Amino acid sequence: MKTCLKKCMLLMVVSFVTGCAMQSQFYHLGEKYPPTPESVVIELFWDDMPSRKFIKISRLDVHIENTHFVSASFADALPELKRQARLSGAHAITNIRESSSSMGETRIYHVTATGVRYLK
Amino acid sequence: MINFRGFLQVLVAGIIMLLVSACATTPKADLAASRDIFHHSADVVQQAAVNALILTGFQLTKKEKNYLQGNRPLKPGLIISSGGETVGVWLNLVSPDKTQVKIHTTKTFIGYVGQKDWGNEILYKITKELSGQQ
Repeated sequence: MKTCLKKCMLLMVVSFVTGCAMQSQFYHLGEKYPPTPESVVIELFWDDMPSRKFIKISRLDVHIENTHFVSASFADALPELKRQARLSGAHAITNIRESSSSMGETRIYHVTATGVRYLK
Repeated sequence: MINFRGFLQVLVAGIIMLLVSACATTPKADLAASRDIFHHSADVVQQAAVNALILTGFQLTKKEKNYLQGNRPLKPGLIISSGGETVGVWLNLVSPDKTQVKIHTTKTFIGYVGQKDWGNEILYKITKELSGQQ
């Protein structure tokens, strides 16, 4: 009985750990650029656009699916969004669009954005 | 002396593995219930379809000139798991500025209850992508 209980608890822990999936990616919209160094701060623009001259260089996507009725938010996706922006060579993230839905006990959150690079 | 309990455990594990692998079928174009025609070139529609797959949580596993395939990772839940579907997207050029899209979703034996046919949702996302709404 005790062994069975331990196995059940282990199964539940494994289930909780594996019940979350994050997928992310970027692709260049045109010319490819080297990744932005860690020393550069990636800026975020929700409604407005950067005042400096820039070009749109990448499309960024972060997709989070959680089971167990656990919802995700922009805060959960932000570190990965910035990482994708950095990898694509972007200096800032603009045109942020969020969407969320659910399917059974799964909560789906998706954020799409545009990576931009400042012109000198 | 044969360990009967051990043999039974291996047998059950084998049957489960067989069911999982045997039921994860490949999508087929002639079974595609979701289809639509878009007034764009095949390249433009293909990019929109790639974006639509990403938006619906599919990982792109195959990208050919006229075909895309994606898979949704399986996530165990408390009662119902989610994911595990494989989707096939066929792109047929009707004319230089007209492309037909056909979509077929296959489900797996394990997690079948928490899976769904993604065809119509992917078509909707393609439409949104092409109209620049997403």
